[in-house]
Amino acid sequence: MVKLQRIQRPKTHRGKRALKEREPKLIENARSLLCIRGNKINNIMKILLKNLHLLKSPYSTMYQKKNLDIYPFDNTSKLEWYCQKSDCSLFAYITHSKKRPNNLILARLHNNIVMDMFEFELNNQTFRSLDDFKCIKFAPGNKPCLIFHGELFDNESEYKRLKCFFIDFFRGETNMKEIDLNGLEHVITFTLDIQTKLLSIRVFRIEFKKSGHRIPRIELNEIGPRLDLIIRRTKLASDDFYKKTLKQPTAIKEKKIKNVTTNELGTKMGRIHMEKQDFNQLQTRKMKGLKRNLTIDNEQTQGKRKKIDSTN
Amino acid sequence: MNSNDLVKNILKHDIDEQDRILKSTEVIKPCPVDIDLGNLLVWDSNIIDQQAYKANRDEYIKNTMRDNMQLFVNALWQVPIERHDNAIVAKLPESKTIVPREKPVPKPKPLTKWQKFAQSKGIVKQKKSKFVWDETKKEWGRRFGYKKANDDSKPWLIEVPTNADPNEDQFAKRLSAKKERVAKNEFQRLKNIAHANKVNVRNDGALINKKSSANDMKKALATAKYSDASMGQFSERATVDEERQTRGFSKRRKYESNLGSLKNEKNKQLKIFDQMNSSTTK
Repeated sequence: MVKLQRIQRPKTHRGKRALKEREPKLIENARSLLCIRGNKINNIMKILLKNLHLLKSPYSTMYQKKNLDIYPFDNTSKLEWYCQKSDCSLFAYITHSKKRPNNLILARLHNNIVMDMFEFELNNQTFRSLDDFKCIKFAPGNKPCLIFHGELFDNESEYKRLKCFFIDFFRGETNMKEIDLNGLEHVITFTLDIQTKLLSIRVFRIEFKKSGHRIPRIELNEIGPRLDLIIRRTKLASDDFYKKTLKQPTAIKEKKIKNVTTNELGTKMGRIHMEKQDFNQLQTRKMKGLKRNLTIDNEQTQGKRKKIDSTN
Repeated sequence: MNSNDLVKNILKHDIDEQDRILKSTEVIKPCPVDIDLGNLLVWDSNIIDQQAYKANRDEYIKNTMRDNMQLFVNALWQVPIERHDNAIVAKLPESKTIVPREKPVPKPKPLTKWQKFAQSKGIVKQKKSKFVWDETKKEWGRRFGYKKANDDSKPWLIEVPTNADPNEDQFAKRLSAKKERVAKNEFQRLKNIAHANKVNVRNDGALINKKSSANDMKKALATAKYSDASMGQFSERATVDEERQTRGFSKRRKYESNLGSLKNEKNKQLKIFDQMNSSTTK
């Protein structure tokens, strides 16, 4: 697809910039979410989708129409095509049926191929939307803090992948070097109970209170959607595929400079490693007086002197 | 009096204690918490207190998360801090958790013909000014683009050079020369793309296959073999190791025996149905 686009060039500078945004980069863009509705949905799922869209905005696209005949666990090609069109690498797909009520499917893609897909059941009794909490939320586009709680996240492979999935889902900007300390606005927390396997997702706003010293005391206020999810089905990427996606470009890695140190005075010190030297064969300055063949030379000069003397 | 003072002292001490607890940033956890500052991530591997969780789930979650967040902030405030204008900015370390990429790692683009030449000669691109002085209009105009300066693309007068044919249309000559230049540029651009994709192109645009690869040879042999009416089923082997020579391109089918296992046959046919229904994703 990309090769074709090079043969047919973009006609405007804006088009050229848009294509450049979609190209694979060394430091990637934040993952975008595509919110899609299934054929049959109920009100709660609609609200949930809207909430997910708002949580992830501006890295989120919402498709308003219903989509027939999409069964992600059988065939993901239509969803992959939509994601390619809107340059998204995450999708959230909602349905509601008698067999699978309050169904939410979250998935992530790599190179427009579905990698991991998780199907959840939402507990509609305990669900609270963003509107149910009347307080200040957070600025859109802010990077959230993420907290995971529950031993299952480390013990079972499915939940390990789920943890990585949620980090990827909500992370926002990749490779952030600095953060404004006032910009820590919200936290998204995931609690996984080992007995009921219930995953509770809560979103809080962070408030800094005065403590006696430099580090502030934290208070949390719940702002966002309150979700209680149970995993129904999963479709995880094979280990080889997963390993391939983890490859990081070598250009980003910070290059270590070896053998150069700065001492306390600020002088730059370097270290040179020498090969072994034979001190007998070293090349030094030549001094004629120290030559070994000195005696022979003396005779020659005496001979010369004699000649001179004889001529006189 | 004494007892009054005593009571006052105790109350004051109590209030001070409460204040101290409320403002404290200390958190004690049985198991230390894993903090990844680069990703703003906290991983708490402590066991969930089942009693508190069952009693009031939301309250319990809020309290544990407040503790975890406090630990995170304690760690974040240790990091070197700069001041940018009005904002106080913390320098985050590298993230510890490796997260899968969205798209594959970009491959370095192969150099075009001009870029190779420029590299070998040491030619560096000079930055040009956006505006140029236009003598005739006596004002600054763009170097290229809309209403560019020194624009002679639509001349009202062209002097006929002394050695040219007087009946020649100079205007048409200019137009066709421009078309030639554009076409040449386009051709060179496409040639660069072809070279980048390892496709060799001749001057008239036809493709050259300098060397037939091993795959081409295999393909040729396999094609020759299945070009008869029975798709090569009953023909003799061309060489002793024909199977190896046509690996990947052969269309010779292996037939199972009629008296084999029924279970295998059933599984094979069901597999075909599954493949037909599913989409091919890795």
